[in-house]
Amino acid sequence: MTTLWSGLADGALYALVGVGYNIVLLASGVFNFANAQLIMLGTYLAYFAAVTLKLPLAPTVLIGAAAVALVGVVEERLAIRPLMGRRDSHATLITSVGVAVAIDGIVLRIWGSQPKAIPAPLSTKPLNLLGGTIEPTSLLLIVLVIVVGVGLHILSKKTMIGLGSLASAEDREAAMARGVNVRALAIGAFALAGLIAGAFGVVVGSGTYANPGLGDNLALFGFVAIAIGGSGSQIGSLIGGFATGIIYAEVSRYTNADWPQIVVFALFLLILLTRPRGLFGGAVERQV
Amino acid sequence: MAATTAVSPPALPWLRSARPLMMLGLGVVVLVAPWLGLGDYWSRQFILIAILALVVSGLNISLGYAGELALGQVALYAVGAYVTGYLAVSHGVTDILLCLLAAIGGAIVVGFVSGIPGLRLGGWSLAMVTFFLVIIIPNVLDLLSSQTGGALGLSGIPVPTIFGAQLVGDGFYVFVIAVTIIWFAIFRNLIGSSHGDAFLVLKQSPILAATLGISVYRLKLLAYVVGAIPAGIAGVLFAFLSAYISPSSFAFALAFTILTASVVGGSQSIYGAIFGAAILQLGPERIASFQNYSLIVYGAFLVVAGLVFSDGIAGLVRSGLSQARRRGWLSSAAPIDTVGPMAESDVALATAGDDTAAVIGDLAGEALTVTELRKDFGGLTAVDDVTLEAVPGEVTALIGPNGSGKTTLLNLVCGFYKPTSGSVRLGPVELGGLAPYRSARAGVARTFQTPLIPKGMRARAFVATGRYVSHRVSMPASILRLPSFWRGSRASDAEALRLLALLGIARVADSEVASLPLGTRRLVEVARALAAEPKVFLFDEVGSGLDEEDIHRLEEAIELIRRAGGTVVLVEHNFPLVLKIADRIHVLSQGALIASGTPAEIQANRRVLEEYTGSSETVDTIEELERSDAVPGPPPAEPR
Amino acid sequence: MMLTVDSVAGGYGDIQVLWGVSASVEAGHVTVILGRNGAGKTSLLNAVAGFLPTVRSGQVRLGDLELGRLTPFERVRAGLAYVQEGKRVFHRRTVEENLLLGGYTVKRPFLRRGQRLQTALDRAYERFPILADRRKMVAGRLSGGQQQMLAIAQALIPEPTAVMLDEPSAGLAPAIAKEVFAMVEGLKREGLAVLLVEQVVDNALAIADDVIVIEAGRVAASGPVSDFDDTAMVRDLYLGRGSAGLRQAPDPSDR
Repeated sequence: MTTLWSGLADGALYALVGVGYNIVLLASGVFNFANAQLIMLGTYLAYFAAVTLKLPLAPTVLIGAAAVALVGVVEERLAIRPLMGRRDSHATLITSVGVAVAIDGIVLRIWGSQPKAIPAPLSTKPLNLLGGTIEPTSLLLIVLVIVVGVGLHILSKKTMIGLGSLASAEDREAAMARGVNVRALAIGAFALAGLIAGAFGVVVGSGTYANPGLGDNLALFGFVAIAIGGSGSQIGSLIGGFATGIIYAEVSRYTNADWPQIVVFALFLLILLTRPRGLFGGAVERQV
Repeated sequence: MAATTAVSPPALPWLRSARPLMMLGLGVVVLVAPWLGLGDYWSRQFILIAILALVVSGLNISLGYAGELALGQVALYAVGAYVTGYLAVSHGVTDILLCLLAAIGGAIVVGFVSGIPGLRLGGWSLAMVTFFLVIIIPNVLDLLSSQTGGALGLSGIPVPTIFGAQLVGDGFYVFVIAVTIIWFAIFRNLIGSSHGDAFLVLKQSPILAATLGISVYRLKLLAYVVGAIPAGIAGVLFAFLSAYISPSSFAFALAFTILTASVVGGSQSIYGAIFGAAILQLGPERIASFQNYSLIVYGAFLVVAGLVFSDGIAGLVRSGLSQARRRGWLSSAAPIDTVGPMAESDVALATAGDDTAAVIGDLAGEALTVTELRKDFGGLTAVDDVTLEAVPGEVTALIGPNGSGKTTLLNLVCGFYKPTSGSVRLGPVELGGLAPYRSARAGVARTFQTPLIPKGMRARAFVATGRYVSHRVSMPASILRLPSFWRGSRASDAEALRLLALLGIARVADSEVASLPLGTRRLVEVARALAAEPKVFLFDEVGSGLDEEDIHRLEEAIELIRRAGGTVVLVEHNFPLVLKIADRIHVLSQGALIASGTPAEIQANRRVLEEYTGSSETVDTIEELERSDAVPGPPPAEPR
Repeated sequence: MMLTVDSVAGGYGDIQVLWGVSASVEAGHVTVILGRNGAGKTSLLNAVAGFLPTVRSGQVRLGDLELGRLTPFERVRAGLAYVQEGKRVFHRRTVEENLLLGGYTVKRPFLRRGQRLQTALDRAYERFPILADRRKMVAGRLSGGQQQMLAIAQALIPEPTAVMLDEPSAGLAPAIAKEVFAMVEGLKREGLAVLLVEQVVDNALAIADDVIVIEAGRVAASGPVSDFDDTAMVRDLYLGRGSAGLRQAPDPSDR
């Protein structure tokens, strides 16, 4: 059971990345490879605020949220928007990878390659839950990710912005003809993805440490999460992320350290071969 | 290559430029550099550049030509290196040629394993699968640690040998450079062949590729796997160069370096890989403390490159050259902006009386039989139990107002839609449900209302792509420039020129198709369709937007096809054209067939005019309309 | 409010499709745009709506407001409605969601679907009873005629002052097409300025106040509908002018 909890905690991370991918995919049809880097940036900012500046929890979260939201907006403006009109859709592949690499580089330059510890927001005393142990912060992470995922799902169905976003993903021009401000949606989506990434900095970072390899690792597993769940589906991302995390944890338990990643890779290949659209079909099939 | 230019006919465009000779010259200079005073340090740099260039060129094939982002060159590179390391250390195999063979084999296998699932979905799947491949390198190496040394790496790789002789120092250097030169020659030969043209088409329009009979999935897979080969080769060279390999040499920071080198040098270029590799190998070395900023710089490079110059340095050179040509500083192929009336010779060629069949060849058209074909989209019935037939040697026109289902019907024949029920047969072959490329291979040739034309292709090359599948020259033959390659390309080129002349547009053979006026582009597309020697021609509103001259030329072209026994299906909106050249007309409305007959019958049919124009009170049929003495409308608006 | 197009020239990147086209329609009037396929009718509507990538010259005005600088979604807010060709509703969304999307620009509290929108929805259901019966149905499952009705209903939700329709009767059964035309005529009576692109000449002329004929991206003829003879019009449009060629052969260098 402890393994299960650990799997859920890791899975929550993957689901979080997937959720971020989906937010941007749904609103602008773009796959933002750098989303995981935004989450990594969030952990570093949490380190900066909580450890370097010794700020309490609330300002740390706020600073993280605001700063990474800003980074998201800048990314959209510089690396994505200029390409929106173009026929050739390859360019955003290159530029979003470029942004990811640049963020990796910036983080390395400023903070070096040693992982940085971030104080946990809740006590570190493990809880006994359903037959297994789990750290309170990890439990918090799981709960928060579920809340965010479900919340976004509801928002997209119940609000006009959410509806506009779904419409825009289906037919951008028709959405514009109905008055949907697709440009604002795109900017908003990048800002929201950044905001969430930044706000989660403390909760994520206390478990993973702020480390420069975090981005690349999460990028991949987050993609696996949406491959399983179906691109564009927040609920799918949750399911996909948790499933991946659990599989990884269970495999680690029974084999040595090398197998979990290989097993997840095999699972990934299997999904692509047998059910490429994932569980809940692609809302945005073409891009992903 | 000097020998080949002597043999080749000067007309083939891809040999016209002096670039390959220049690069070969450069290669030879680099090859003999040690004897020209090249020191050890620079020797090593050149070897490293060569190795990186090999890996980058593999990415260029995938990304620049087939249009698929692959991030896994590093993994294939690692396969090459570790296969070598394993063979050399555990089995004492030092023969470099054997290692190359084994490494290439390994790279191809891994390429297939990652490419097959990765290419199933478009977009990011391949990138992510290959990225994953790189991430699990340390895991796989660790699992196989008895063979690979795991995280500690594999040391003590012996000196390579070739036919028993040791390859050290200058010898090794020469071997590396020679292998690199050979690979780039192969690369160049591949791109400068019909396969390269097919890649271009694939990258810019998968729909057009399918219409040419190309299986998009298979060609992309082939491109990706071919791109794995140089990475494997590079791995072998690297393993022997450093005598020690470990997982840290194959980290994914390298993957980004490779991507940056590809983009900087120009992904869609052959030699750009070398320039990109040189810049990325030498640049960091020159600038102290670059390491700290390397990723930031690469990232910025990628963003800027993606935004500004999508073709890297090679692209800048190319556009610089075409700018220079446009300004008359360089001579160029005759630019054709307007196409005048057919030249005497063209007319003679095109309309040589009863010899037309001989001129155009017997087309062996087959009957296209549509039986109770139906296509529903949810609640919308786009094609409603339509039955009709198009017969060889006849022009069959499909007309109807917008939204009547004409284009849907065409798409059903081509395979872009699957029928809900009913059948479409071409001769004995059932087309319904076939994938578009299979439909094309069964003999369906189609033109598009908005011509799909890839950029950067001359008319003669574009027309020749029609023969890519039907007169296929194998890749090995193209790479090695075997006689079958020369025969095949010469024949395809000659055929392309002949068809262009037939349609009266021989003069545009060397012009870039994308820059031609619409009417001429349409005719080029017709030539392309003819080149495929199809069993049925589907012309989708081919007359739309053309002026009288172009339409006249089009009419003649269609007439030629008809007389040569081809089956022509014309989906048209232009009544006069249809009435003039169709043998049989079928009228669609709201997906259903409402009238069929000869032009005379259709003109006299009451329903037809009604369908198009709403009920007409004074005139009921097209025939009456043509004969009507109605007062013409008001004078044209004053031009402002 | 009057919708005015003043010598608009432009196209798609390098390809120019409009060469100085002018048109106008007053409130409570219908201007019909006729022409062959490929003549530039849709491109003209696209230019007005803001979807034409390259506009080299000319102006588009709604009342006094110049639309040129506005994005397509801003033009909707300004009171312009565009019913594109091909029944472009959102196939994956329900009828009700489609109508709500039509009301995207209507001011409302941030999250909830406000009172104003509910009224507009009710009005739409009243006017289009077919849609009322199928509120929760996914739009992709509607028949062609129903989808067209939905597309028009969508466009009308924000109470626009000018409406542009691109071949609304295409592919529809005559009875349904007649309903569509009746509806368009109704819009005219409500005081909207209606710009209608059509191929079915007679039905269009029956409700038109003014007619514009587009040929190769230019205005070939224009004037009040009374100036136009149905029969000659149909003949010109569909049968061409025979061997005489076009009235104004386009200059090859223009292309």
